[in-house]
Amino acid sequence: MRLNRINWTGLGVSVGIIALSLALLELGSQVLVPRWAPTTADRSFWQYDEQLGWAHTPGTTGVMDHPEFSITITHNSQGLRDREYPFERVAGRRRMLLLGSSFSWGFGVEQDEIYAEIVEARHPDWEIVNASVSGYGTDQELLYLKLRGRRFEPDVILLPVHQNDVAGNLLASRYWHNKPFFERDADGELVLRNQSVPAPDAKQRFQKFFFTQTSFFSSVYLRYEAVRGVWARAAHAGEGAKPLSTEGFDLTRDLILAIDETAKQMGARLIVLLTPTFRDDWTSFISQELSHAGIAHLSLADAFADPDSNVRLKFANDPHWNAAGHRVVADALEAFLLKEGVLP
Amino acid sequence: MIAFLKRYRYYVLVPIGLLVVALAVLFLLGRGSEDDVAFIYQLF
Repeated sequence: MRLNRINWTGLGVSVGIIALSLALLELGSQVLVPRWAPTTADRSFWQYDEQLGWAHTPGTTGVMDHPEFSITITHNSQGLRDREYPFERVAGRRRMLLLGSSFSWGFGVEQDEIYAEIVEARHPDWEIVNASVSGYGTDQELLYLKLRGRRFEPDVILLPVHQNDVAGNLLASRYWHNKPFFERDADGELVLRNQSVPAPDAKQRFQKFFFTQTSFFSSVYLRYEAVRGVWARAAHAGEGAKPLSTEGFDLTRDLILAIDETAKQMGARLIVLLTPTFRDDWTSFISQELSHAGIAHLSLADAFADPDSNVRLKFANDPHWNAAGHRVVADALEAFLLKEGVLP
Repeated sequence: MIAFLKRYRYYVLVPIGLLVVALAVLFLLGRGSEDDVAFIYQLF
C-alpha cells in the first residue's frame, strides 16, 4: 500500500466493501429480525387529517406484525377500532367516550382484549366508544372531542394521560406527521396553532420510509441518537442538575382542564386515568392539579406495582400493555368507576 | 481475483475492522434506546 499518493482503486475497493457490508447487514437484519411495520391488504391504517394531523383510515382491516405479537386490526366506518356506534343514543344505555392513544387503541392486543372492551362486556347497560388513536397527545384528544367526539353525546369522558404526552404536547410534529398544538398566551389562554395542519413534506415521508422499511439502518440511527444524548449529558455533567422545565406539565394540565370544561358544556363528566408510565414526580404534579380542579382521577401505578403478581403486564421490549396488562387496567378502572358511582 | 484481493487486502480489512469497531461502540453505548424504538413504531 503506497501512502505517498492516493490509490483510487484501493479507495474504490474500501468504499465498495463498506457499502457491501452495510447492504448485507441490512438484508440479514431484515431476514432475521421480524419486520415491525404493519401489513394490510391494501392501504395504511392511518391517513393524513387536515384538522388532527392524522387519523385512522375508516373501514381498514389488516394485520400488524411485530416481533412480540401479530394482531388483527379493524377500524369501523368512523375510523375507530371499535364496533359501529350510531351517534344517536340508545334509550336506557349510558355512554362513555374513551379519548386515548396507542395504549387504549390496543397496540399489541386483539380488540376484545382492550381494557375498555372488557369493562363494557361486564356492564351491558354501558357503551364505551373507543375513540383512541395511536400517537395522539392530549392536544389532539381535546380537538377530537371538540370537532367529532361530542357528536356521540357521552355521559362520561375517559382520558388516559401518559408520560410521553407531556413532551408530545409541545411539539408541532410527531412520528413524521405534522400535528396541531396549543400554546399558552401571555394571559395563560390556550391558542391553537398549525391549523390547517400541513401534510407531511418530502423529508418526513423519507424519514417514515427510513424507519419503517429499514431494520439495521434505523437501528444504527437510533443508537447514534442515544449516544449523542450520552455525550450531551456528559458535556453538561459539571453544571449541576437543571431545574425541571414545567412548560410541558403546565400545558398538559391546561389541556386536561380544557377537556374538562368541554365535557361540562356537553353535560358529561371527565375521568382521568394516569398510567404507570408516568414518573412519580409527574404523577404527583398532575394528580395535585387534578384534585385542585375537582377532576376524578385514577393512578394505575399501584395496580401495576402489585408485588404478589409475577405476571408480565407489558411486552418484553415495548412499553405497551399486553393482554394481562389490559386485564389489570380493566379491573382497576371498573373498581374506580364503581367507587365513583359511575357504574351501578 | 485472489491476486487482486491479496494486493488490496488492507483496503478490505481496514474498513471492515473500522466498521466492526464503530458498530460495536455504537450498539454498546446506545443501549437503552429500545423504548424510543417502541414509540417510533407505534404509528406508520
